Parts: sequence; C-alpha cells; structure tokens
Amino acid sequence: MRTCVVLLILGLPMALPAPDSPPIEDQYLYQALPDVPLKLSDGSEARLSQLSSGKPLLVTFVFTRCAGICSPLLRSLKGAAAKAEGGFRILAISFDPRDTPADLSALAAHVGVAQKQGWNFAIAAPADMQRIAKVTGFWFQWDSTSRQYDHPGLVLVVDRGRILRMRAGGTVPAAFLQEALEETRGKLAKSYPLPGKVAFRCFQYDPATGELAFDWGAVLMLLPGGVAIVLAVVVFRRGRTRVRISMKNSLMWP
Amino acid sequence: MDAAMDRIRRVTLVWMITALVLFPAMTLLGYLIRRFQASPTPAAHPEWFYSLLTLHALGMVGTWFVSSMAGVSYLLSRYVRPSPAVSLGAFFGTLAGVVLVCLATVGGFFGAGWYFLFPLPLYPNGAWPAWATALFFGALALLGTSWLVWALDVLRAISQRYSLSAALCLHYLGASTEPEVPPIVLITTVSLIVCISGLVSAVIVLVLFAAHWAGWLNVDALLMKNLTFLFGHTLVNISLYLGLGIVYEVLPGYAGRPWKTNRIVAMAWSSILFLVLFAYFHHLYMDFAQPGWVQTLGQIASYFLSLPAAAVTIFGVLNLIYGASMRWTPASTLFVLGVLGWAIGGVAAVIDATVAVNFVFHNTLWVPAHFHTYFLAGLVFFVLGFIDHLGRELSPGEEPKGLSKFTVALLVVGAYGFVATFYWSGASSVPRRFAAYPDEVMRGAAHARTSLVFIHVFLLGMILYLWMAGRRCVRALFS
Amino acid sequence: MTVQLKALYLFLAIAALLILVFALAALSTTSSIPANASAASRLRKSFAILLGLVLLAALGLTLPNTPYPRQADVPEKVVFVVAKQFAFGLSETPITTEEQWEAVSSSAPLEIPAGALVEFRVTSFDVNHGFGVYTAGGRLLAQTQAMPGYVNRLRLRLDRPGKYPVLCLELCGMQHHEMRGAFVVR
Ligand code: HEM
Ligand SMILES: [Cu+2]
Repeated sequence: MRTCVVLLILGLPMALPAPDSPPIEDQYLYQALPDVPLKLSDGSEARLSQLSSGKPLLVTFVFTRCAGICSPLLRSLKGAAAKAEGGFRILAISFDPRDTPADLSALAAHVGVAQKQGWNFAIAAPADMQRIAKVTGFWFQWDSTSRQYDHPGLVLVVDRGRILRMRAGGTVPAAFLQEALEETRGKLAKSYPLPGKVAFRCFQYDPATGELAFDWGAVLMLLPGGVAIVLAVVVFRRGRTRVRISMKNSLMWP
Repeated sequence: MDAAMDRIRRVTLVWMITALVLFPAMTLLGYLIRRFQASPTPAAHPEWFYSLLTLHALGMVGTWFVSSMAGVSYLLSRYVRPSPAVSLGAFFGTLAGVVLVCLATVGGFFGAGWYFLFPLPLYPNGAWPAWATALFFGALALLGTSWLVWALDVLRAISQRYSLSAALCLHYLGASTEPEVPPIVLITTVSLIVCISGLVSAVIVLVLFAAHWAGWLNVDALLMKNLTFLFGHTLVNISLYLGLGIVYEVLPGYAGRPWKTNRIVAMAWSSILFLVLFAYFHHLYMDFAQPGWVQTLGQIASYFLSLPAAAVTIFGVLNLIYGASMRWTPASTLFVLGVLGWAIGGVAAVIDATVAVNFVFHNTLWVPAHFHTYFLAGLVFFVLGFIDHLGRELSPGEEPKGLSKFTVALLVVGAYGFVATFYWSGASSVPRRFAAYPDEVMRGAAHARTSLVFIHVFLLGMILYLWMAGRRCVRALFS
Repeated sequence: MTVQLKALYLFLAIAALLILVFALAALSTTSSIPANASAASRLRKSFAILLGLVLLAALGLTLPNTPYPRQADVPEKVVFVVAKQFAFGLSETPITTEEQWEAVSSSAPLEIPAGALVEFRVTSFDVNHGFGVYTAGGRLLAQTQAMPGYVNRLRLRLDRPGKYPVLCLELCGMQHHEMRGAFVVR
C-alpha cells in the first residue's frame, strides 16, 4: 500500500488501485461516481444518477456466484440498514459479466431483501465497471484455481452523486452507517482524532452515537476548579475555628 | 504604627519597587521585539525575537500579577492580616523564578512563548537546548508554588474574619447586609479561588509535560491546550480583577463617597466566579476538535462576563465619580483611566470572542491589541495609581501639578497610540508573533514603525513617573 | 465589507461611546451634584437589561454563523494538509509519512477548481500550527488549527482564481514566521 501511495504522490493521482488490498477511504473521498447505465434485476434500465437523486445511496459490489463475502456483506448491510433512520436507497452492482437479472433476483431472495423497499440489484457493463472502479478503488480479479473473483468488500455512501464515506471489509457496522447518514444531513464531525494511543483525551468520539463523550481527560479538566473549591473550603474551615483577631481599622486611610 | 503593620508596609514597598524596576525592563523588551517587527528585511536572529517575546510576556504577566496581589494584600490589612512573611517568601520565590526565566530565555534561547503550548517546548528544532526547557519548567514550578502559597495565605487571612459564604457575600444575595463585607474582600476571595484553579491547572500541565518527556505517556494535545488556557486565561483575568479590587477600595477616598457591597455587586462577582472558568474556551475556537457545544458555551460565557463588568464595575465607577467633588491626583486619574482602558480592551475581547469573528481574528495582532489595552491602559494604570497613592501616603511632598498631568498624558497617549497600531494590524490580517513579516502582510512592519514613536512617548512618561513615584517609594522604604 | 472591517468599526464606535461617557462623568466632577442612589439604581437596572438584550441579540445573530462545516453540501474535492516545522504540505492524496510530506511540501502548489467547495483536512506531524488561508493581497480568509493527533475539516469555496498563500498562525518555533504553503485556484 505504501508504495502505491508514494506512486500516487509522484504524479499518478487516481492510478488504478493495487490489487490485494482494500481501498482506503481518504483516497477516494468526494469523488463523483460516473453516471453509468444499469440493468436492474426486474429487467428495467436505470441510470446511476436516478438512483442517487434525492436520497443518499449505499453502493456495494457483488457477483452472484460468490462463495465468499458477498452474501455475508449484504446481510450485514441489511442488518445495519434496519437499524438506521432516515430515507436512503441501497444498490448492489454486479461486476460479473455472466450475471443476469434472474441471477440477481435470486441473490436478493437468498439474502432476504427481495421484497424490501429501497433495495436495488443491478448489472453494469464491463467498461462502465472500469470507470466506477477507477473512482472508488474497487478491484476484482479472476482466480482460475478457485474459479472465483478475488475482490474486497466495499460499501460506499453516496450523496448527491459523490462518495461521502467508504468502508472496506466484510461487515457494515450500524454505527458507521448511522454516522454517514447523519453526515448526509449536514451533521458532521468538524474534526476526528487520528488513530494512536493517547492518554487522557478530553472527549472520546463515540461512533455508536456519533457524539463526543467525556473521557478521562475531561476529569483532569475539571480538577483545577474542584481543587480550588476544596482548598478554599478547607482554608476557611480552619480559619473559622481560630481565635478572631482584633483589627485596628483606618490605619492608612487618607 | 504597630510593628506588624510596619512589616506589611515595608514588604509592600519592596514589591512595588520591584514592579517599578521590572516594568521598564520588560517594556524595553517589548520595544525591542516591536523593533524586529518594524524591520522590512527578514529577521537575521529570530531566536532573539522569540526568546525575548517569551521573557517579555511572562515578565509582564508576572509583574502585574504580583504587584496587584501585593497591592490588594496591603489594602486588605485594614480588615484582615495577611502574613508579611509569606509575602516576603513569595517575593524571594518570584525573584529566583525571574532569574531562572531570564537564564532559560536570554541564556538558553527558550522561545516557546509564555504559555509554552504543548508540545512545542519539546520540539525546539535546534533552537534551544533541553536544559533551557528544563530550566523554564523549573522556573514555572517555582513561581507557581510561591504564588499558590501566597494566594492560600491571603485566603487564610480573610478566613480569620469571614466565613467562606460571608467572604463571597452570599448573604447579600438574600436580603441581609450583615456582616458588612467590603468589596475588596469579596473580589479578592473570588479572584484567588479562580487563581488557585489556574495554578493547579499549570501544575497538571507541568506534570503531564514531564510524563510525556520521560516517555511514560503520550499526552493528548487537545487536553494540554485546554489546561494551558485554563491557566493562562485565568491568571491574566484575575490579575485584572485584583487590580479592580484596588480601585474599589481606594477610589472612594478620592471621590469622597462610599462604594459599598450590595446585592448587585455580590451577584456580579459570584457570577464571575462561575463564568470565568468557561470563558477560556474562546481560545480554542479554531480547534475544530473541541465539541461544538463547548464553543457555544465559550461564546455565551465570554459575552455574559461583560454584563457584570459593565453594569456593576464600570457603571459603579461612573456612578461613584458622577458629580462628586473628586480629588484628581495622578492616582485617581489613573484609576478612572484604567477602568476606561479595561472597558475598551474588554469590548475588543468580546468582539474577538465571537466564533464567526475569531475565524479571521484568531492569532492576528488583534489579540495582543485587546490584551495590551486592558493591561497597559488598564491594570498597569491601576497599579501605577496605587503606587502613587501609597507613595503619597507614606512619604508626603508634592510635585508641580502640571508635571504630573503631563506624565499621565504621556502614558495615555503612548499606550493608546501603541495599541492602536496593533488593532490596525489585526484588522488587516497581520499575524501575531511574527519575528518579521512576509510580503503579503508587510504593512505590519509599517504599523510597527509607527508604534515605535508611541513607545518612546510611553517610555518618556514612564521615566517621569519613576522619578516622581519611584523616589517616594524608595524614600518611604528607607525612612 | 469584510468581517474584519465590520468588527473594527463596531469596536471603534463602542470605544468612542465609552470615552464620551467617561469624559462626561469626569467633567461632572467640577459641579458637585449630590448622589442620588435610587435614580442610579433605576438607571443601572435599565442599562443592565438593555445590555443583556443586546448581548442576546448578538449571540442569536452570530452563533449560527460559525465557520465549522455543517452544511449538507458534499465538497467536490478534498485536500489533505499536513503541517510540520516549517512548511505546509498540501496534497490530493493522504499524506501519512514524512517522505510523502517532504515530496508534497516542496512540489508545485496544488490546484483547485474555482467555485468548488473544497474540504481541507488539516493535521500536524509535530507541534501545533495554524493553517491560515490568505489572499495574495494578504487578507486572512479562513483558518483552522493544525493539531497533532487530530484532523480538522475546513470547508472553503473560492471563486477568484489566483494564488492563495498559507501562513502559519500558531507559534511553532524559530521559523514560525517563515512557515508557509500555497495553493492555486484555477
Ligand atoms: C509599552 C509597553 C509594551 C510594549 C512595547 C509591548 C510590546 C509587545 C509586542 C511587540 C508583543 C508581540 C506582539 C506579537 O507580535 O504577538 C508583545 C506581546 C505580549 N505582551 Fe507586550 N508590550 C508592552 C506591554 C505589555 C504589558 C503591560 C503586558 C502585561 C501583561 C504585556 C504582555 C504581553 C503578552 C502576554 C504578550 C504575548 C506574548 C505571546 O504572544 O506569547 N505587554 N508585547
Ligand atoms: Cu507553524
């Protein structure tokens, strides 16, 4: 991956992604998805822009003969989508030229989303798939020994035709989806911490709720005020128990 | 006069004479760093600029903190007995701290700024050696401990006569005015509690720094920044509050009218105790990592801190002098002018405490503009007024009236002219803390050249002042 | 009118008002007017209420106007910014290593399209820096802190083509005043 990034820096932006490793989100943020024509599982045709207009669109890539992560990923997406609030559509695009609309319907039924509102299964032409791959970092490779495509699991959150968030891997945590959907509504984190072990953060970003929660650092921040109050109380307690001194007033009044 | 009072008087004079020595020295440093900025050519020795900037700022903040502390302690001794021994101990601690800070900055070129934002002191990039950092931290620890003990002793003194709730004037919030508590007691109590929280925060910062330096922890930069500003902001604020305590106590004598605690004064200062701890968030508006509600809270607290200031202190001063048969001496003149400067600097601060404005003002020269206004034309005037007041009380004798008026006029013209160039630069996007300006903001150098004229005027006023008030203090000390 | 000028004029107006009021109060000390406590307390009350209302109104007007990204727009471009003593590296692709930073901080200024909403993702590899976007004429347009361990998102739409210098707005060491970066709007 590192060599890949260096190559990109050296003047090959948007080079084709390196096989073997899942794409990293940062590299493809805000890329516009090409408006490719799609053939849907009910046999009708649609353009990608039609599916992504008006509502956020979750995009994932599958092939129906997949013996690996495709079905589990779709199920995970189904689970996360069930928990998420707000309107959005889901689109699973097949990159396998052998897939037919009927194959896709079967896959939808297999995953249990055939009747679900908002779910779309579609086939993209190989040339269009290349265009999509270029801006998303998605890749697939035929492996003749296993007779399967090698490919990463990938879910895109597309808003207004652009990639807002991306997640690589075999599962989609509900929190990720919720956070991304919040972002489509304009509620976004102004900042995020980089990974790394740091002692006493003030606020810990909680992806489950999308909120910043207090961490031990916040306790350290409250400590000065607390210590000051306690010290003041202690000092005054002791003072009250002592003999009152008699004061001479008007020592230096003009 | 009894012996204890005599000791208090002497230690106060020692503090004031120290302030009168440090003040010109630190002002000269200010002049030197402004000279750097006035030059149109790239800085040949930026290490001098940054280390002198660090020394100037810490020196000034320290000078005015200790002198307002000393002034307040002296005035408080009408009612309670702060220990002159603790004050003297704090004096020696401060002196040692100042020597160490000088060594670290002028000797070691430590230049991470007076509030040494984490983790810059540990990343000198070859500009200063590790011992300079260690020395600077040592100096801060020494200063912090001396001042903490001093603050606790003044609170202890107050506690011998007043309960905590009485000292905070909580009974005034109900209908009761018994026991009667002078405003200076209330203000000092509030300020010192806030001061302690600031100093504790500094201690935590130093400990975390040490732990990070030793490699035990990887400390969070955002936490450090919060703690740093909790310390920096409160220390600066309470110095001003202590200065106001002096004004509340002394100015009525010149106006021939009382200025007493009442319900509204009590309300004002207890709200300050609460709000001031949240106002420092306005230093972190440009840290997007800080949660949004904290930023909002920061702006609300900063805005509403101006309400007690305006409706109680500023209104109170105006009400005190309105139509009074004022005795206008340098002291009373400087007090009233100081409240004006504090108010003007406060307005500039509130404007900058607006998130939307801070977006283009943060870390421009607008920031030094506003705090130099309420320091130089505010707190400095309070303390100079107090020194004049004290000097005349302890060592009578008059200067020609025209001369003292001329002196005050020079100070005022010098101070406002000087800060005006900062405002001008700030509003035209010139960044703060630049040893030399890049082409895009080269106008900053022209503004700096203008300011040099006013610094000279200020220095002239200061020399005259030193000649008048300084001599008196020295005479009083050795009488 | 720029925000800076508005703030300056507002400040000058209030400062002038304060000076006027103080001058009037000081002048009144030549004619001794007896103190009128009840009139003063009534006046104080109205003043406090008025000021409170002004402050509330100002809060209401300015708080929704924060520079933090919040609009539901999707930026057209992301620019990764890494500050490090003493330069800014700007790149279209993530900067995760020192070598990458070396390469981008010394290469030709990045280009961004005019009129496009751009998101700067700003962080630091060492100390705190300030990412301050200036016009070629030296007006500060926007800023965010570059803090180690955090990535701050600053969104900006620049219509006017030209070179935009970036100056460092947080004391970061001996070459703080020389620390810079730039990008070009085309
Ligand atoms: C005529 C007297 C003074 C002069 C000529 C002067 C000059 C300066 C200058 C040129 C700067 C650097 C501005 C920048 O580019 O950021 C500065 C910063 C500063 N000054 Fe002064 N100053 C004076 C009085 C004071 C006073 C009375 C205080 C009281 C506490 C003070 C405290 C500071 C502080 C805290 C800083 C900020 C340092 C930093 O940014 O880290 N100055 N002063
Ligand atoms: Cu920098």
